[in-house]
Amino acid sequence: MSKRIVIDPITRIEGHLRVDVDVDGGQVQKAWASSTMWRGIERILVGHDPREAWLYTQRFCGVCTTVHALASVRSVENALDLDVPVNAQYIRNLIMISHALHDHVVHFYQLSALDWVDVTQIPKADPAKAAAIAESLSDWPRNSKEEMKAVQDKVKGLVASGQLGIFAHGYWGHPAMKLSPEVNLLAVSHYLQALEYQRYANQAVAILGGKTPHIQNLAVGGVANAINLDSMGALNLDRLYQLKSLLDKVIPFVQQVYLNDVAAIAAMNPEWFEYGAGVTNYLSVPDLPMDAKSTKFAMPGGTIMNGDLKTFKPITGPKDEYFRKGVTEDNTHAYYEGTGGLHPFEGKTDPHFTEWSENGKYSWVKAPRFEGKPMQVGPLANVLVGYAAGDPVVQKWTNLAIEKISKISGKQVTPAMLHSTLGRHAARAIRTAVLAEHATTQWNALVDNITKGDTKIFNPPQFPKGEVEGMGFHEAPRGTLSHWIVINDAKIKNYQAVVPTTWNASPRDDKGNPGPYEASLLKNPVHDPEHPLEVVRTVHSFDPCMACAVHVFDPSGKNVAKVKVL
Amino acid sequence: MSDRIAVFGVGNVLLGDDGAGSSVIHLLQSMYDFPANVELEDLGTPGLELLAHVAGNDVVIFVDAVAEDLAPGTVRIYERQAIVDACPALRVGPHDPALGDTLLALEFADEGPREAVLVGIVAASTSSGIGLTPSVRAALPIAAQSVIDELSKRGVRAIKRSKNAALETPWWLD
Repeated sequence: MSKRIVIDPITRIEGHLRVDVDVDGGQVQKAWASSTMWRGIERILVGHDPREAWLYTQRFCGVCTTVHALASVRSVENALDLDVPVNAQYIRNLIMISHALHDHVVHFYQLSALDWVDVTQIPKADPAKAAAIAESLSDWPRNSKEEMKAVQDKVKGLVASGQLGIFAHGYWGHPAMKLSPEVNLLAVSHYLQALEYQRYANQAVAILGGKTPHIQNLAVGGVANAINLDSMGALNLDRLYQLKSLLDKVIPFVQQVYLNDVAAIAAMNPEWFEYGAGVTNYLSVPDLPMDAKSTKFAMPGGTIMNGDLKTFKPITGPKDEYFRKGVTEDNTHAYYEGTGGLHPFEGKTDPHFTEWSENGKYSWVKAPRFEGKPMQVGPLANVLVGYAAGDPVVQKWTNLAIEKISKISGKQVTPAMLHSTLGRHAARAIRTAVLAEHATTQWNALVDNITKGDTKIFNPPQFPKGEVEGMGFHEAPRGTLSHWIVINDAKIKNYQAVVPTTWNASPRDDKGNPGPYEASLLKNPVHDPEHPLEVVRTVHSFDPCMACAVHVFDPSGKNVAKVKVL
Repeated sequence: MSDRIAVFGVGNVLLGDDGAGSSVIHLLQSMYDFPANVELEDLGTPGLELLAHVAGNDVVIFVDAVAEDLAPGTVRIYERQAIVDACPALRVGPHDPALGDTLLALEFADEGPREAVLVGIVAASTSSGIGLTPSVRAALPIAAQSVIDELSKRGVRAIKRSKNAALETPWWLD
């Protein structure tokens, strides 16, 4: 008999991800992903000055503030066909990279690692053995026996006190937890170090953005960082070197620690390369523009269909009709009026709420489609597209990661195995290593350009009479983000944000095709319906960005994730 | 050396009363001058990015909208234990309210604040839209005074300005 499991994190407060799965024979047979909050936040923008839209959009989501700010200014620049000085491109690129380094590290260590790491096994570990494993994986200096012993003592203290604190709610002792006590110890020691390194990445964003969250340096047409190498108040050599020294701390952490930890966890859980593929159509847009017209990019974009890298088709830039014409959103199973795909320029967000109905409407998330097909976005799409496009940086880090996993597990891992739950984690670590490499390239490009004497940072926008349309995209930490703006007489007439989680958490469409979360959960094992760790693993592998929103503190503790077995 | 003290407003200004925390920060900044060891920041909805901001402080005072069965606009102080007890059991995404998680994670890392309190303002409506409901708007000075009182308990004197910069209104309260 099949059992329905509902994972619904919120009761009184709305705005989160709800997952319903039918489990039979120890496997997920059907799945529905839904959001419990209306996302019509774009309607607030209508009638406003397009130059100020980014101030509003960076409040869409508290974690992704910078990404919504950037996509917004890009959409207006695109509508006006406005060039962006290369200094401004590099400064924006460095902000985006620093933000992504921060975001990916936090996602892995503070959110996802504990799906795989069993803290309660740590007292049994041999610290010397843990150090030996770590030292065999990388040159990272903070892997000594003493370091491991200190962390183990800390965890022993917690376990002995009976108060697990931050680790109180893990699925401890679950049979799907496969790491050795030593690898668990290693991972928790890096969990602690990650708290330190994510902070450096955040400080890097603040140096260029003025502060975090809510950067202050953007403008339609460029940035507001006056460049003067000799001035105290401007972006000068001192600040540039401060930025470099922060990046130089974060880069080795992601390349030598994060990537190896993911490789070790993957190698010890190889069955998770078989679960969680779901939708294997991938979409990733080019990013890190290197010229004023946004035609050359340091990271390529494109699509891959049916998991076949040979189907790769490039997206060359924001003017590429392949992307601009390809995107539609469908409301058949979403709580909005209408059915069938609407292009974002014509997008409507008129609520039509019904009860949750598995064959009817069941989510506040619309169903975006690309040429009618569901697409997976995110680091896996980004890495596979880069790999298929022949990008040397992506290929280098992907090959290195695959080699490491194969070496630790003793089994040959292939790129095809990346279509999976673990593949998404591996790809996120690969992408982070790639971005870390680009951090140095972008910093060098900025400094070279400034020392050549170019200090231009801004081209003033001019708005024509009548109507213009623009689209700004960004390959954000959770995947392809696009903002679509219609401007009439210098005022916003329509605004639609098609966000990464909308692609991934999409409900079924008018043809009944499920979205990536829903498809990825099929055939996932579920050992114990009361403790659906396996479902959580696959959902977390996407890095859900659902509650871009409400942050009401609920002292009753009712904002507790519920797992309900029906 | 004096304590490092932070006052953080959290909440989303595009979601009605959820903007209360950010609004209180703006009010405080326009009404008072603070000593150098006190940082005030409107953090929006930082989720786990809170980790980067909270770490390294000795005392943290959060200001946030709260969901309680009390009259909207009621201002209540929550102590650290209440914040931690409301921590979600299962974190689905990085955006889930993270006050409790942040305190616990930093405690484990020995980087957490010695003291944490929350000045809560009971919300009436947190649906999509800019602007506070009248009862919550009226509660802003009360919440601001609560922050001043919490600071004063810890020996911090904020100096009231003679003219409070016309209560410089942030864009979401225009």
